[in-house]
Amino acid sequence: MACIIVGRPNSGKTSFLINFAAYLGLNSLKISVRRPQGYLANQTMTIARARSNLITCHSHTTRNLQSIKIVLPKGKRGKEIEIIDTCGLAEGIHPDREVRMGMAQTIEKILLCKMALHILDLSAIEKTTSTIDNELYQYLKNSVGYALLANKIDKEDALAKITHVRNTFSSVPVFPISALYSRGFKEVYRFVLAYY
Amino acid sequence: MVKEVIDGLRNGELGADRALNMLTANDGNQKIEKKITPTDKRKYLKKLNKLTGLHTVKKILKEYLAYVQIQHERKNIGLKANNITMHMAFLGNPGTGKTTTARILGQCLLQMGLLNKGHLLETSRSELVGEYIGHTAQKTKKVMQKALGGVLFIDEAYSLSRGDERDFGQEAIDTMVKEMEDKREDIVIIFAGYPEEMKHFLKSNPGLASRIPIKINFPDYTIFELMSIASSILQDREYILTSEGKEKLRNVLKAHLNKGNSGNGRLVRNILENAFRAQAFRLSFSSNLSRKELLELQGCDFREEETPWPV
Repeated sequence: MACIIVGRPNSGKTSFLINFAAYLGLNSLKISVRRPQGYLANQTMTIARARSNLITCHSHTTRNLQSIKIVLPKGKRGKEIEIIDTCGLAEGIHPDREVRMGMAQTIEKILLCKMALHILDLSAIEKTTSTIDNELYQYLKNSVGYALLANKIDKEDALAKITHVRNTFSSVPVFPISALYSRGFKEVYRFVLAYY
Repeated sequence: MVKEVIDGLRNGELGADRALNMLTANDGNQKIEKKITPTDKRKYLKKLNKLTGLHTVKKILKEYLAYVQIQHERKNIGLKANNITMHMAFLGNPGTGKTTTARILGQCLLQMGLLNKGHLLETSRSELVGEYIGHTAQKTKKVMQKALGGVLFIDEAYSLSRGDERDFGQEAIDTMVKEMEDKREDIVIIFAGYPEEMKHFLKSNPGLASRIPIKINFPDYTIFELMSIASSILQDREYILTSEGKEKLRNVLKAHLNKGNSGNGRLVRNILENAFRAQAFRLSFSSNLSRKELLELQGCDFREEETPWPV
């Protein structure tokens, strides 16, 4: 069972992956990185190291699919799910081939995953939402396991934009979160748990 | 279509927004069509081969997968193809690998492009049977809806037919029979349970047995296979057995089998769990432990008198 995290570059996908894993009680992360050539590279790091190595303020820090496995407390033996962090999807044709490969990997994976958490950067929303966010919504809105995570509620004016987001993306659940400060994770966790 | 869009994105002919737009327009919520190469075949059969023992099960499943694939390919080029009913019954004691096999089967069918999602939904009587008239059909349909595109694994399926005529279990079976015929290409239903009880279950609805063309027996593991399961668990958990430990484990397993307990994977796992704890307790009194000491499970870590698992 896999759950994919998608969104624009710098919307907070990797922060969410790491801090959500920490919220679920993991002390270290065994991260599997899927290279576009097809092979998997595994690395284990502590939460603190993952934060310092994988989160930056630059776009497209994540260029390959990177995933962690967690066990949800469900059923007799629990349910293992794989949470996949992806390369951010940007509008237009990206000049860097490696980024394009990463974006292609992301879209290929979206087609295969049953569950998608779409991270929306509230601080980047002005009057309208971005084309990529709209396209992702249009593509995924009919999937049962699709939810929008309105990220960066810790920023100024962010909370005021939640209503706008809920109106624009009216047919899916919207969870306000702060991936950086681990806020709103309880609702996301409940959503994931209910789905599996 | 999907492949062209993704290639276009990779080669710099399309942006991600345009790619998503095209996929939505094409109702891209469908599986990626791909041609199965011999390498792919090896890859998905590898997981099946990795299972300890179960030689007959593997043989039947490989034949079945080959049949399904060939029928699919015949259909693709316009030849006559038989309708494929993929439902099965897995008969065997607990811990003989039924659920694991079902999970791998789902993945195989997904990779072969025969199922959309290939997920495994495990369910049992409580999730299928309702509390009042009409409730059962709703509940059953809901579970089947959730399992569409994947494998629905009904554990202890015989419990559906165990009650009297007022029991709603029969209603669940009747609903399922109808649904499994209508949606036979989108779902694989696997009924699992003990061999004797399952025979009675399959007779509970006249249409049931005929809709389950494949019945697979999962035999209990032999001592040799149980030792092989133990060795893979130990490798996975980074422990090793001393020769004395190996002998003791073999004796403990033999003692369990002689007592009439079915040889199953869980029995091995629980004996080893006990041994891990016993080793930890033994080592907790020493200081300056070497790597060798931390790795090794000795004969004294296995205790014969314990029944670690109610089998």
